[in-house]
Amino acid sequence: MSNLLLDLSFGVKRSDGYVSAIWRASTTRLGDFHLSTSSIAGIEKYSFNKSGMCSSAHSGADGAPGALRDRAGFRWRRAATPPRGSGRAARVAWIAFPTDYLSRPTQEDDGDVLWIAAAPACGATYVEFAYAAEPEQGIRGVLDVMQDRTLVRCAELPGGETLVIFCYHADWENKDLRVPGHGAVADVLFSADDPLASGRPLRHRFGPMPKDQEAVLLLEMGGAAITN
Amino acid sequence: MTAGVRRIIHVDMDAFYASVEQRDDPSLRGKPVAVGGQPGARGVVAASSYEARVFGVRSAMPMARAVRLCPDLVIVRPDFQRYRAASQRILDIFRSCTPLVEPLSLDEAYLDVSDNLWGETLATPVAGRLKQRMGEETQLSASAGVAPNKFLAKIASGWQKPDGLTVISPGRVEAFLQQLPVDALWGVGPVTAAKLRKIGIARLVEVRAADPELLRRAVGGLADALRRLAMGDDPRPVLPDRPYKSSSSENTYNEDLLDLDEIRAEIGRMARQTADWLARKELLARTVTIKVRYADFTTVTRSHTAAAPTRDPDELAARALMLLARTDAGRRPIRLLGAGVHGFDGDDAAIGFPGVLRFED
Repeated sequence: MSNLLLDLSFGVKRSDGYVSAIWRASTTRLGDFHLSTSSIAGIEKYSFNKSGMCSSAHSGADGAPGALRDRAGFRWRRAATPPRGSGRAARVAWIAFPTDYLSRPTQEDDGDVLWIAAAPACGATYVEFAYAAEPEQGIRGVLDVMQDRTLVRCAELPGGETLVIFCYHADWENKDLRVPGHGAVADVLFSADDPLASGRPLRHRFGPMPKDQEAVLLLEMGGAAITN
Repeated sequence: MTAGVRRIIHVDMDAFYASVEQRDDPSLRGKPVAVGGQPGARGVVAASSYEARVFGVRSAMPMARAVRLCPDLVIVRPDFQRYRAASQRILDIFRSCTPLVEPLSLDEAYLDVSDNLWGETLATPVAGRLKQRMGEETQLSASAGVAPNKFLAKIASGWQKPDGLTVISPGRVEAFLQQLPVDALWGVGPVTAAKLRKIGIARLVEVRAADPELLRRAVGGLADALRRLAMGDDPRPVLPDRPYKSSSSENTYNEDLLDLDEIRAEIGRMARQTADWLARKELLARTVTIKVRYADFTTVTRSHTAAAPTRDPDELAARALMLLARTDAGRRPIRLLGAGVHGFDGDDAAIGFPGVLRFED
């Protein structure tokens, strides 16, 4: 029997097939929630423990990167779940996927991934994760009021809490970004126009350091290595 | 959870009056232009072209100073009939997209395009199309801000000027707020900003951690609005028929006023003018405010709020004169006088938001 109450692989996909990285959201029977994705740099994982303590970690395929003594990146405490009947939830993480920075798919879709429809051009798809003390029906009621938010999945956790995953489309200002490699590695260009017709094979995530009581905010964009 | 994501656009025409003049008179194009009164008559700059702004010429600046800064300045008398016509054409373009258009003045407006007649699901393409149509149909450019609420959209429209389009996606709201000085807000001018700095608040986000009592003592009724805005929270809807929030008039005099009787007559006349306006609009006001600018350009405002609203001309004039007695009128030469009313009956939520009489700074 699986130790997981929820085990969801998801991503964002455009009608022309361009996609985000594949993410995995899982909850354990102990009430912990994990959010992770993998890339050529290894696995990036965000853990939200039942105690309220949270941590981020990066690891290579063979465990912790050699340069790091501890695979944990940051630790913080998430916002408390609002009381039942308040009609509110505590957001703990959100990821923005700008539509014009999705990537040409590099592997066959094995059918196990829930693909969320991408926002139109000049937009971004937001996927949000929140804790509520409401049962699923109450959450659906709240989301019905917020017309443009779509419930992706609910998972009831021990202790009367529910993890809610929902998504919506919002505006986005496309701006090219060039991350310098300082000669050690190639620069990476994140461009909506994709002038190299690369298909943006490199998926990167950006975000501020998580702070106590605040949600993890991640921006995922596709880019390409450039040599000049 | 917060309410659904709204899609608000704030459009701010670029150097509107000056751009209309340059559009209609090709000989003005590429030249530094100021719309306003003549310098000899203590004229003030109502608008300046971007070519003039390079020299430091700004709105509300005395024209004499503008000419000193830019000796080649071309001064054009304002023609509000043409500005209103251009503004109406622009509003027609907006209303072809959404009925939820809230004009703030001739040259700026809010639009709520969450549901729009063009069938666009996002606001960014709407803003792009609006800008394109304005350019094609009026030969005027504008800067637009796209955001989930009015407060952020308005600040965004000023972020990249001229001809800019700035989008604040929900995930970027916090980063945007972190950059804002506290005086980026409506209602927070130099005087209020100085009061806030005195209690250690220079950036908007610092309001979040401020002691509520200290904040209230520093900025009074603005405190609650500031606290909400510091969280990026502005639930105000776009109101196509926005109720009046204030009315005021002011006058800059060709020669300084020193005679107290003359000054009292002027203030009384202005107060009665606002009473006439209240009667025409069938409104009642609680607060009377006067503004006095001395010859050395220092400016003071005085306000009085009564429990009962009124539009009685004698009462309004008497209260304005009582406020005048709290200034140096008659002892120091005065170049500008103003009087106005706000706090209209049934309007309890105006403090800190646009449209409110802003004499203070």
